Amino acid sequence: MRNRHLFLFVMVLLAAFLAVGCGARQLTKGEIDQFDGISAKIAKAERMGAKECAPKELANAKVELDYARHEASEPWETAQPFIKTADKAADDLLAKTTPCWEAKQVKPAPLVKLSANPDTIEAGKCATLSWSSTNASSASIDQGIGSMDPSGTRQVCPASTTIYTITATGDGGSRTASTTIIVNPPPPPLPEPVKEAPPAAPKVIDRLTLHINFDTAKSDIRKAAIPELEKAVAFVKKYPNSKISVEGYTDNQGSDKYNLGLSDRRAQAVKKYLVDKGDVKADRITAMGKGKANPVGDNKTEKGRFENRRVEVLILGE
Amino acid sequence: MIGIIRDANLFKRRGTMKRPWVVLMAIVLIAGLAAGCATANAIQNARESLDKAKAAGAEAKTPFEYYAAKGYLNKASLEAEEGDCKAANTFTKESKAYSAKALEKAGGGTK
Repeated sequence: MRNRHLFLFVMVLLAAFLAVGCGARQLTKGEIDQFDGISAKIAKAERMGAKECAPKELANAKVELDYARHEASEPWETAQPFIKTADKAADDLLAKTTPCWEAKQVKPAPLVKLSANPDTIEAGKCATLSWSSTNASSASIDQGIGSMDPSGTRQVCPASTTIYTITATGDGGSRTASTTIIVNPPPPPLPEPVKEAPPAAPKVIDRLTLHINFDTAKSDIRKAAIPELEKAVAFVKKYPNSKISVEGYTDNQGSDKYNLGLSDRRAQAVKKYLVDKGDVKADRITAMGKGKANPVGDNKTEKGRFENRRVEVLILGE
Repeated sequence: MIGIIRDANLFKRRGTMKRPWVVLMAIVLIAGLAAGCATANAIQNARESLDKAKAAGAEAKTPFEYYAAKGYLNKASLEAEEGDCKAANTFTKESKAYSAKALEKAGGGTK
């Protein structure tokens, strides 16, 4: 009987031992969260290609996670050391996977724009180049400009039409963009006003000086002057094809304005005589008064003043 | 075990233990304990599978499967040492499964 009781006691003890051993400890919420966090890290690493990038670390993290789950379910174990080990294994996995994954990522190619304002200038003027880029770490512009920031502006003053090309470089490669600044030649300078050369003084091929007695301050032809005028008619008829200039002069008595007017009227009177009486075409004759210019005698003497009061008939060459 | 059965018969002969279900219970318990002893063999089998996978170049060709098999085998050994036969068996099975995958992927066959 005593043995029987002993046997039953052992059986109960064993059953109790097995019951305790088989019973799983309930995980706390904190532990569940910790396991979820570790699982998430491993899942993230797997999405990033951990199987290729860090296979040993992936295997270790999974094993440690399973082991920690098992240990955490044991009633007699303290879960935290195993959870920490699993968490560290997951961190190591991510640490090794991340750079590997990043290296495999296709980096976006840089984008770059380049423009000129204005895009057409006159020679000697300047324009502003503007550029911007994305996914670029550096940029350079040709035509001697060199390295620049990935975005910016710069004034350029090309002497002739120039194509500017910018090259933007980034992790994803290089891209270029170009713009052209058209340089127009400066407008031609305004033509300087052509100074009309004074008409060359026609060559005088012959001349006749008439001393016609006009009434004082008059220009009417007196009968006494007709012989002198007939000499003029005979003179000009020697040159039927030549132009004729009739110039009147006075002495220095009176004002310049007066003398100019008087000498002009007297020259016109001689011209009229030549046309009316000498049948000389009017368009062959020019008549003008020159006042007291070109004196041929001394105005201080009567004789000199007489010599100065004259009409000259000039035969002009071609 | 035979000795235990003999002991049970002894109890019966002596009249101190007449109920046969008690004997059966003892047999079941002893069988359960014996099953725990089989863990050592399972671990040895798993280790051999891992060695085969390694010989096939699995460490380089299929590192994830190889190191998973190795990791679970280590844990199985730990649990066996601690006397947790159930956990040891679980980890041993995992190890063998990964070794088989590693061996297959490494071109060494499924066995």
